[in-house]
Amino acid sequence: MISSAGYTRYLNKIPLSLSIVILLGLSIWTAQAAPLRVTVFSAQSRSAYDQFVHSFKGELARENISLTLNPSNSLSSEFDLIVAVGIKSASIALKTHSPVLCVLVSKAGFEELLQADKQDKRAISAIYMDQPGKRQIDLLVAALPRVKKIGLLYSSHSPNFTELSKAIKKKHLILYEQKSNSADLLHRDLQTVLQKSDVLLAIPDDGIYNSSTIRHILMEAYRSGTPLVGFSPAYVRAGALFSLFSRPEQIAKQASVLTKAYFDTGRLPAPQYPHKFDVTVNRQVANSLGIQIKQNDLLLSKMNSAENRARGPQ
Amino acid sequence: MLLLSFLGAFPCLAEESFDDSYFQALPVVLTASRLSQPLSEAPSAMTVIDREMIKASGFRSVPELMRLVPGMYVGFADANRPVVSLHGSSDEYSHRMQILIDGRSVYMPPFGGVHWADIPLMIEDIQRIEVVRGPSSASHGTNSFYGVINIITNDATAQHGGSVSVSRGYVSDASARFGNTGEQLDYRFSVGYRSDQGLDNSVLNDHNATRIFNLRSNYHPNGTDSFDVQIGSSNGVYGIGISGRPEDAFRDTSSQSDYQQISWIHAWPVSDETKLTYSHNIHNSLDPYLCIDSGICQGYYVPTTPISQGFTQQSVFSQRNELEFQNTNWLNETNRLVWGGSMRRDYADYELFLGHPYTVNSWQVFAHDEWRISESAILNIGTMYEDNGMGNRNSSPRASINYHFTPQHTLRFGISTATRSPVMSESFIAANNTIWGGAYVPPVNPLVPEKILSKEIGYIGEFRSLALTVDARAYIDQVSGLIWWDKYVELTPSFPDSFKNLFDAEYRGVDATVKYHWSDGRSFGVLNYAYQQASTSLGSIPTQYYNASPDPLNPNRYSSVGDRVRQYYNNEYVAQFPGLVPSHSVSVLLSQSLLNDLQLSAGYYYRGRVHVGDVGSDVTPENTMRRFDLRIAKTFKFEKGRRAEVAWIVQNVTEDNYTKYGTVNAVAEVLFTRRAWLSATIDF
Repeated sequence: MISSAGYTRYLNKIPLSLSIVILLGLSIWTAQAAPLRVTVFSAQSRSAYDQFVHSFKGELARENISLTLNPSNSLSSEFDLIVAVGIKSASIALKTHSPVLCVLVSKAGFEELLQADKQDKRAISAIYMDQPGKRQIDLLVAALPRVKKIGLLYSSHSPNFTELSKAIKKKHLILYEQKSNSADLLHRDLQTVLQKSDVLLAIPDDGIYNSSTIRHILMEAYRSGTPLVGFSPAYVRAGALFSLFSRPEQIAKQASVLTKAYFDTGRLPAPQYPHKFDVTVNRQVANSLGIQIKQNDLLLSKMNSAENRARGPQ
Repeated sequence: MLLLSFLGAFPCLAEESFDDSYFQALPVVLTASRLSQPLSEAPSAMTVIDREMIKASGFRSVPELMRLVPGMYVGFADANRPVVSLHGSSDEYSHRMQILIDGRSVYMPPFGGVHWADIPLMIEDIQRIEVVRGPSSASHGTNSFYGVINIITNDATAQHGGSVSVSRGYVSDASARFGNTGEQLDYRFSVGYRSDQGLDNSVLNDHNATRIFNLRSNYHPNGTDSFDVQIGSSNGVYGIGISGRPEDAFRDTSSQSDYQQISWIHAWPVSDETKLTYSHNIHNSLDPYLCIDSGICQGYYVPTTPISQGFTQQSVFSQRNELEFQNTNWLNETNRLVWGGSMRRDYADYELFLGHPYTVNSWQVFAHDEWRISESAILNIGTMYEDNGMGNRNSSPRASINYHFTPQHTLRFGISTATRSPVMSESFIAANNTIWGGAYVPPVNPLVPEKILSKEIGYIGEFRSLALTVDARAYIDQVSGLIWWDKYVELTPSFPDSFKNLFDAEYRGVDATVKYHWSDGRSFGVLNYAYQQASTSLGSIPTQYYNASPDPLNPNRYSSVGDRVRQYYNNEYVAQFPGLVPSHSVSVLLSQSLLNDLQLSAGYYYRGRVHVGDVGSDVTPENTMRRFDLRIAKTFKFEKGRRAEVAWIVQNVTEDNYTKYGTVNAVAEVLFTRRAWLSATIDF
């Protein structure tokens, strides 16, 4: 996964003498700190993607990086680094030969893309949108200390949630997982899982959670007095109790750090979770369910300190 | 490569689905008006009767469920005519309660009461009932006087697939329901038949049969707008009559009730919401053989006047159109303002009593702010201003503060006011009406709205780790200008009765509810207790009070006409008034789940002796009620989540038969005896 800076690879294809000349030239050029050619590739339009691009541009404004924006459907030329925004961009960028940093991609989606070419030796990395299982469960415990049983509804489309179930077990909580095999049975499966759990934890599984089922799921959960925990701001607005997520700006900051490090070291780290995150709470729903959640910032600082403790002194 | 590019062009890659989930725009589902307030933050004392209580109680009507509200009086004039009111017994129409079904007011324009028997509502379709035990005009609109019964039916998303239910035994009920949810449209509909033989057909003709249809659907074309449409209808046949009373002959009345309601809800950013509702109700009832002159009906003038001339057909038609606009705005993080207004047009055609049709156009505006002063204090402040369409304008302010000493312990101090406008049958009696032989005449002075001022202090303890809630309060409610029959008919036969703002009254009481869940929430117990006291005094002194002329009828007993009037009011009203409320009442509901598929529930209902309002002191009072009900249910589970339930319900198991509501002794002495039925439900 981690490899040397991309531009040295293509030198193999050029005759030796020419290479020397070019290398010489290049070394003079880099000595003058030649800018890294980075393109932000966004094949799809989404407001989150636009926010990322905007923030990323801002973060790198004063760096010696030649940043181009590529809001098209294809990549015509080679770059020193492609920052691919979103899964569609990632899938196109990975078909080129340039190093790629994928952002605003799900872990499951990204890993599925990599399956296609395991032999790929260039620098490829990602910052996921997913939150680490431990973080999710830490937040759940901090926000809802009385919760003992966590319900999880999933379908055959579901991303892998072993990490989440490990984190749940580690906290000595009970996980009640219920697979729902068809839309017809969703209602019954939902009722079963709601009956057996104190909280329903939504996962990015569009077999269960999609725009046509969410109304029913939220109403049913509310009727049974069970809060739903989401993973995006839209969930909170729809009626979830709270969501843990990273804003595009937060990911942009992390991506800019990785880009600068790449400029310095020629290496990309292993795919990683976002470091910074946010929690939004639906106060109306919390009040209605009689749940008192400490102020966001209190909660966040508590969680951040817990994570720092876990990471140990840096 | 070709394959790759083909895959790349494929619009929906598997890996995209996970990612789409993160960015998916979702509809705003739990908008402000769909959320209920928790007990500890409600501005008034509130009882919530939820599905598990409804089921465990075995009750099949809303009035009976009201036994689970501390201090609520529930009586039955006969099986078809329940009387439900806070602050004790009332006349048959219990004018002083607001009854809402999904925000639609269902008390009838001509009488102000509710014809509970034919409301197009099935108990299985009720999601919960919130009963506000105190005036609440700022939140629930006009007529929220002694309290509000706010019935919330299942949302359009609540029914999935079909369900059929049949009950046999003392009752003959059947119902079927079906529902589904979709991307843009959710719906549920139900049809039902409800019937029983009543209380005691040897004395009362109170058999009944009601057919009900309901449809609720929700259309949500986008993420921020939704349209909730409800249509319902009922028609029924209700026996009426008392044996041995020719003026109350056994006969069948019929009635028809229809409603349509449409609400548009728009969700604005930051949890703001606008809701616009239009509703339409009609109610039509027919009594084919109503006695209008008891002398003729009883055959006193036979053969000169044929008996049939003493009877006529009574038809009452009423209609309500209402348009309501309600906005919820978050002024800032801690201030939520709910404001809006409504216009209502009530029409009634009750020729026999009112002479000609009447239309009353009323309007109201309201505003209510919930301000979280700090993490532990919530101030609720609001008012309603109304024009009752009968020449009066009133405002009904309210303020309360809920203070959470700890998250578990909350104290509530509240002060609240409301008005009750006179209803058509009080204000618009026709001078030449023929009903009851013209025994009632229009009010001498125009009636003005009754007013109530309620002061209360409440405690709410919510111990989540113990699954225990405690809710207790003490209150003083002061009422002025109570509209009552002015009985100067008793003095001179030529002066019939009419309504008058006659009394001031005071109600004091203490009530408490304890709710506890165990065995993982599957078993529960609820205990309600209420202690009540009532007293009254004459608010406006009748002019005859000062009449010094000798009493024309019994000069030996009464020193003057004024003395007779004083004695009459003192003995028949003021002295009787405290007896209208039961001093003590208790209800207990326990539900224990056994072996995973058995549910055993028991209800115990105690109510002290009550004297029915508006009747003479010689009518038999309702004696102490001690009633014990049982429900045993077994659930069967089949593949694909299908399930069935068989339940056996026995009411008044111990045969501790008690007397019931009655305005004449023959009725007041009918006993409520033991009854049982079996009920089976299949969900598929």
